[in-house]
Amino acid sequence: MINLEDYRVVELTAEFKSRVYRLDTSVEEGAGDTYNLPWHLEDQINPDDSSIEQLIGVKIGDPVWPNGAPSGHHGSHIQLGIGHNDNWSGLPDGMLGLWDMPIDTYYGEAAVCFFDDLKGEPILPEHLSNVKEGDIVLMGSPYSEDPPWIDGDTAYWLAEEKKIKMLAVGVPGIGWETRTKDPEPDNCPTHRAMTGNNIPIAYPLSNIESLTKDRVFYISLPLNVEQMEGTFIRALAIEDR
Amino acid sequence: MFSFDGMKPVDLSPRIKARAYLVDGTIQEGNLDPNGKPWVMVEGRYPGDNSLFKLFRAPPGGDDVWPHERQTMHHGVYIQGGGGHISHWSGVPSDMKGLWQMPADTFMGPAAVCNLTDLNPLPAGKPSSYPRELWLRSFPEGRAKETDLRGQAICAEHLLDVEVGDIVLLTSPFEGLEQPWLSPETCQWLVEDRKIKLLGIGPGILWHYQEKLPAPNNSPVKRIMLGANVPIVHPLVNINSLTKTRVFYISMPLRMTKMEASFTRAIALEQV
Repeated sequence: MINLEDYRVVELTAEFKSRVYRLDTSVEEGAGDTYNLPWHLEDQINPDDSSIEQLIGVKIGDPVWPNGAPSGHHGSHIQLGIGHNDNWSGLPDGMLGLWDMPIDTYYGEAAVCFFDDLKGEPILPEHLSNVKEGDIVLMGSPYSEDPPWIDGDTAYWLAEEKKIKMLAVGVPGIGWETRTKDPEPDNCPTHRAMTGNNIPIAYPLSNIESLTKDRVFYISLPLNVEQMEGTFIRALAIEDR
Repeated sequence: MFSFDGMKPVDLSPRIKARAYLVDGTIQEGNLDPNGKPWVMVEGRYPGDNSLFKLFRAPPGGDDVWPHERQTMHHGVYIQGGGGHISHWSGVPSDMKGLWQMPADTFMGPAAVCNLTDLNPLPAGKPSSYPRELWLRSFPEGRAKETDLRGQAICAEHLLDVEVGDIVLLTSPFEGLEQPWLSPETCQWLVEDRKIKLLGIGPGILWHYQEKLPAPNNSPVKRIMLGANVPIVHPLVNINSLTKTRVFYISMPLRMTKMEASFTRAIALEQV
């Protein structure tokens, strides 16, 4: 049986600071995620046992977050094509949803690709020499401004030549999508390359710079909810001590 | 390298099907979780790239299935700690933590699988043998007769596979008042003697009782476990399908601060 004492568990999900509405009407401020999306909680009493069960979100129309509730894309999350971008033209048949994938899609051996010297440049196959076929690929860089970015051809190379099983991206640090406003079918090549080949995308991750090995075990399990095109995750890397 | 090679994953989270309000005006029907709760979502379109997303809420005012706009983290399988959940109860320890304050390795590790198939219910016997609610609940006179069957208390002797520092997965094939129940004494033993780090509960285990007693005598299982910073995960499924008595278990909470409970995806890995 696995002994965790032989390994170092590294958090790759940034702590997300909740904004909490308390029973006494006080409000504890939080902070947005990397994309400044908020996480709201409201205390309420469960009458069965007088414990507190928090509601997720705020009332619809609230000036702070008019949508009321978060989507599955708040904080670190994982996404796949069905229900997310299967409304785009030009995508292949056979795309799957997160819930259609076997559970072992979401963990395994990962190549750590940290781009110290690639500020503002495209990430090309030559920068990904440690990626093996079937890997999970973890990307990060120290550049929160003018980060390296995944070139569309590189996305297809990863998906179709290296047949990676997941793309996991540090943000800030990596520009992982381009051409978001181009007309279909030329838009969003990373989305298209990955979801079109049933390769989940996990982001925004953090702390990739703290990994000390260039190969680690990675895990981020989606919730087991059919029709969720993206779900919140807790992403971890586990490396040898 | 750390690896799950040679291990078979078993999903311990039930498949939830969301009831989804789609942008085209249609509704995709969903199902209910093991506690009878739905998972309602409303689809939207992201103008940044014309992709779709779903919000974790019902339409304004709720709907026939869920008559509220918002839902809690207590839908589907979830994990709970004491901080933020029962920290307002009198008599809980001052050092009780919330999920967000616990290290990640709290939520994974070797687990003892305790499928209590042999813990058959017994005639009710003395009222003092059972939690008061179990004794009083149902039956014409409001009390159990001595010949009525009631679940047995789960005792340390039923949990011989539990090692120090384990995660413990509990289930049984029994239903209703015939479910074995987790006694306060056994909870104390699990916490103090076995020093377990997490408790996972599947079907067939009665652990919610004495919820209406005045503090500090209410909800003993939550008090003892969460008070000792042992998170509880439930409602798990498929524990009875595990073929080994020891597995590797993982169910991470999300990483939001001050969140008293969190959705989770629970899996066990057993050696093939």
